[in-house]
Amino acid sequence: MTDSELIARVLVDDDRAAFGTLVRRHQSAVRRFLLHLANGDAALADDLAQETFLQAYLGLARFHGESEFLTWLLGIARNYYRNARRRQRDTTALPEHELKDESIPSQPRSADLHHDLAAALHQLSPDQQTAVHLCYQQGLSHAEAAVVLDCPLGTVKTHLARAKDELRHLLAAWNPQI
Amino acid sequence: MEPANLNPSTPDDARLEALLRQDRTPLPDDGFSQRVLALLPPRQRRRADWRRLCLYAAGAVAGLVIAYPHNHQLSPLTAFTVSLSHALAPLSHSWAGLWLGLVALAIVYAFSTGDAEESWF
Repeated sequence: MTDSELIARVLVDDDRAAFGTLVRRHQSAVRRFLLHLANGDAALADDLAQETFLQAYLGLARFHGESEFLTWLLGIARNYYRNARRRQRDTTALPEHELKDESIPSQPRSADLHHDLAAALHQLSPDQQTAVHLCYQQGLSHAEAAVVLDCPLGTVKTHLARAKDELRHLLAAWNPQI
Repeated sequence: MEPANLNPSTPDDARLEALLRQDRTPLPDDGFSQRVLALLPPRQRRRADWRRLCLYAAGAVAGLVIAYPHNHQLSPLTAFTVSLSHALAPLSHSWAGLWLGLVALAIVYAFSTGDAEESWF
């Protein structure tokens, strides 16, 4: 059953089983996105993911299918994360994207390319990291990422181009593999 | 959902993008969906209320028709109006009207406070 059919069931019959199917189908993408935004804080990511799905249920009538349902969900998740960060900025420090001083080895040591890639990703700007996460790790198109990030399509393309340039530079030691 | 506009321009791009796409392991549900469903508000009773209202209205009309079936010469609408006026005639007596008013208020109150409960249907 497609997302649209499930959404129609929820709207017409308040079908909880249909909504449960939607949650199971998209929970991984939403939680991974929030895990990315919350810099690995799984508890915070799950709390925000629950709020995201609850808000999606309450506001489902406002979803008119202009985008994929997942894209809409990720947009809600991003707003919840930003609001939570804004609320708690003055109290407890919420984990957020920060430029980490993780050094990239000048010469490849072992075959730990993935470790170096993760370190290199952390050196990108938050917007670049999120664009890379959405387009490569979540598999969204550039246009869908632009909807989630609420920015022009050209901005997403610029973030990705600069991110890849930066990654190529940071991972130069792995050439010619990259 | 595959990217629609990721067209690597160079072999280097292709290798880097393939590397970036590798980490797509889905997260296990681990009861997350159940927790979300438990957070949802109680079901809406809008449809059930409509059905109940229709049943009450049908019952009232049937009761009036059964109670006052003697107006064969009148049109159905006129007969219904006469029956209704006969049924409401006790309201013209002050005490009876007061009691009926209280009963009506009790019924309205029961309808309004029942919204938080699960549907009867």
